[in-house]
Amino acid sequence: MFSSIISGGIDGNRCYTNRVEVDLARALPSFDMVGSLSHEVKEAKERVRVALKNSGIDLPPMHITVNISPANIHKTGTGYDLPIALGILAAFGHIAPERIKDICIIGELGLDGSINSVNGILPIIRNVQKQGIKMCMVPAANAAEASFVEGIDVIGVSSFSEALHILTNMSDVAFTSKSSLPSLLMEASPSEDFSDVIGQDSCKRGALISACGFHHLLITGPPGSGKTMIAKRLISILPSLTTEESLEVSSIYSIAGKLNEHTPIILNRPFQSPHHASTLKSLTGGGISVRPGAISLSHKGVLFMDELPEFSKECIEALREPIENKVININRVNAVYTYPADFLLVAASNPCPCGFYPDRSRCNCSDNEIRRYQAKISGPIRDRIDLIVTANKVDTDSLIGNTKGMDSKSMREIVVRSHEIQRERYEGTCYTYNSQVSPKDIPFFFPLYGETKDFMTQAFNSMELSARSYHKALKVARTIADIDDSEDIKVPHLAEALCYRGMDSV
Amino acid sequence: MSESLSLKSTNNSSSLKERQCLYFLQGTELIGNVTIRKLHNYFGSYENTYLASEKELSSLLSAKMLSRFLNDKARKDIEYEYSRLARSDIHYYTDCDSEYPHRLFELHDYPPAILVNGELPNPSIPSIAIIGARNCSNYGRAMTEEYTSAIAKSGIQIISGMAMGIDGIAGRVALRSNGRSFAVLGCGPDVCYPSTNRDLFDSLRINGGIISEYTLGTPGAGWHFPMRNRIISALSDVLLVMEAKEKSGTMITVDFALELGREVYVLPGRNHDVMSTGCNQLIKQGAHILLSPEDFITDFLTSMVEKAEYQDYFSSLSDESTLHKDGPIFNSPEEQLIYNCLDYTPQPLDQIYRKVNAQIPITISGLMVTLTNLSVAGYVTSIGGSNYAWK
Repeated sequence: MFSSIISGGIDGNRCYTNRVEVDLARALPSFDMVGSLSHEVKEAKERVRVALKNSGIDLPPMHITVNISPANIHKTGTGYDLPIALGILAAFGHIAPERIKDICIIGELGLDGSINSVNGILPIIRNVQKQGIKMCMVPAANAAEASFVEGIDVIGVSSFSEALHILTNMSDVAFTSKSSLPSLLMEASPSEDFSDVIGQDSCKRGALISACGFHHLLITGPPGSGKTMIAKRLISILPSLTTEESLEVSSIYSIAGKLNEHTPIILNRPFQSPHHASTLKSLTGGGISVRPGAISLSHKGVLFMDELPEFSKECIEALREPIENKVININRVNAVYTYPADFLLVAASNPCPCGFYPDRSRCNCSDNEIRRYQAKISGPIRDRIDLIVTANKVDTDSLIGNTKGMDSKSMREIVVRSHEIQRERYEGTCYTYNSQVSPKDIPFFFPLYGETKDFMTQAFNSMELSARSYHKALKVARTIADIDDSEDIKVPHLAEALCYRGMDSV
Repeated sequence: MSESLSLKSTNNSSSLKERQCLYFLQGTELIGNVTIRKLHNYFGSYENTYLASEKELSSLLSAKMLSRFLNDKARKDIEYEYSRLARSDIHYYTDCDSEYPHRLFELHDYPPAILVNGELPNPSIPSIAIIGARNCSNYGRAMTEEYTSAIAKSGIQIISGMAMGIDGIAGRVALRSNGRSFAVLGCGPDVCYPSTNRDLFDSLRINGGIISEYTLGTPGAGWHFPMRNRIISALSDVLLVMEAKEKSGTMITVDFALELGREVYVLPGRNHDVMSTGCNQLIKQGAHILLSPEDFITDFLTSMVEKAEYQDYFSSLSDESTLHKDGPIFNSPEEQLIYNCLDYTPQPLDQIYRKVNAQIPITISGLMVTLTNLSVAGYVTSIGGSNYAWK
């Protein structure tokens, strides 16, 4: 009186393939569950008992033992309800063992016998597929999401009786139809376009350079000057997600429970805009059962931090590690959870507490107030932000004049081409984009000779540049040269790059 | 004035003890210059004042003053307090010392003694006070630099308040142009306020002086500043107002200067420019207008030429003291056109772009290149990120 069903689970972002083993014994009636289970998994026995009863199945008084192996891995989530219920019936002999041999079963039971959706289906099914399983049974609400995994057939079920019927009567199984992810990605297009942005030419140019060299961007400007508008449109000029990237991003969203029947997969680059009152955990991820935070949800996309100086200091400083390593580690006593966090940081801030500096007829902030406000963005974070542009309120002239600039499509073409140039340049190195080159490699990748060297020396002296802004200017100049398709960095490239260094001092 | 001079003559004994007692009185909060003089007249000397009984003092001092006086007297060791001056290398000039600036006697409440960290302005060289708003605009900054450097180059001493904004700029530029500059503080002469002007504070001690009527370690207090403004007015021959809002500390200084009969020169601003409303108001009321550094210096020197104390200065003035400012040299007509689209008020990049684009076709990156070139050449400055203005 024993059965075993394949299931899958997730802990943090590590997926496991599990076996749900059920044994029935003629002994004092009881329902025991073992296998390093969290409280929501232990609760399964109540859901299973009632769901079976409400599906018209009465359990005989027997000693039921459930083990989820491997027993040393901590199990979380509600996806084990369905395999446990089916396992009990299989142990009774209601389901033939060969029917449940090669199928992975996941699902949460409601007390009425309905099957509810589960978080993390996409990464779990991807992992199961890698283990060589060819078929899976998932909640109907998750079926579309699971169907994007290649090489595995998906059965979506919405009630326990339906699941039981399929397993006892395998002949009329309807597999969820598969849609081709690459063609969906091809068709996907962000709803916002840069041609909607009127005026703001310097910001648009900054956004283009930012996307080309993956330079983190800071937009300063008074409230209502269109900072959010620019940031939102940045995703429309980044190259489309590749299939692998889309699955990677969707997996994070799946773990966070942000995928549903209507959006079973992420096709556009994500845009996350956490509020400045956000807690540290909501930004980096964490919590009792570890979940990805905003920086992981913006993986391969844009993390927009509006009013950056208003964020708490710990939130701002927490960005340092992920910007450098492209992952975030969440340390716990018994495990380290690692979520990917490869995002483009776009920050927005006011120039001063009132927002109008340097318009002294309106700004009455003292120099100290301005300095204090600026200092809220610490040096290490400023170091990582290569581009600073200023957004200004658009006047009626240009609104009426309606001079449409470049649209996102043509800007994206420039971005794609410059990414190709950079891929060639950094082949065989640890870098992908110009922004990543560390100061020690700058002389090697961005050498300056003759005219350009003289220009930088002169600028360094007359503009009182810091070493920091010198390096940033070189990196940005390289990206501008890539946009221009120029082999070498030339004086105009450097001169333009120097315009993006922001406020030196007050 | 005659009264103050007669007071001075009665104050003939200046023993060490006398100075210690005066320093103590000066350092006692609530007891002001007028009260100190009143006490001195009554008791005949500072020492007697210090030793006076509570009963005698109570007829002259209010209850609060008296309790503060007695409290400080019990707490402070006057010899030790006075010796701190010498250790901090700070001069202490009482109104009967010959070094004491005679101009201060023009004030009805002239300080009985002043503390000097460095030197006092040379009385045989003209002095000009340059003052203005703390939150100055770029226009105010640029003009202050231009005027100060021209004035400093003609050997005139510059007096200011070492505050942020115009005052600090005037002090820095004066020293940079190898001129001599003095600051009058509203705190002790060993206290650097605002602390961001530390560099200026240190160089003023060497190439000029820091003057204060407050004893060592006195922190700046709001009501000290109008008081120090009257000393600035008294020490200088004329007052230059670079930028002032309608209600500001600068306007208080102007009032003091006018009371003392000093001439006031004002930099005009545009209508509606909040930073210049005070200035324009002063011009309306009859203040002199500043047209150019050369114009001002000629005017000023002409008005000073009669003064006996400045004869040495005038005889040392060489005719070829050049005050010529070179205009920018442009590399291309495009550069000149872009330069002409700017002014002293910082303008956002996008606004400049629209202005320039209305005249010649240019890309935003092309404009940035030109602006950087102009910045590198030193004609243009960027303020608060991508706002550009004439330097």
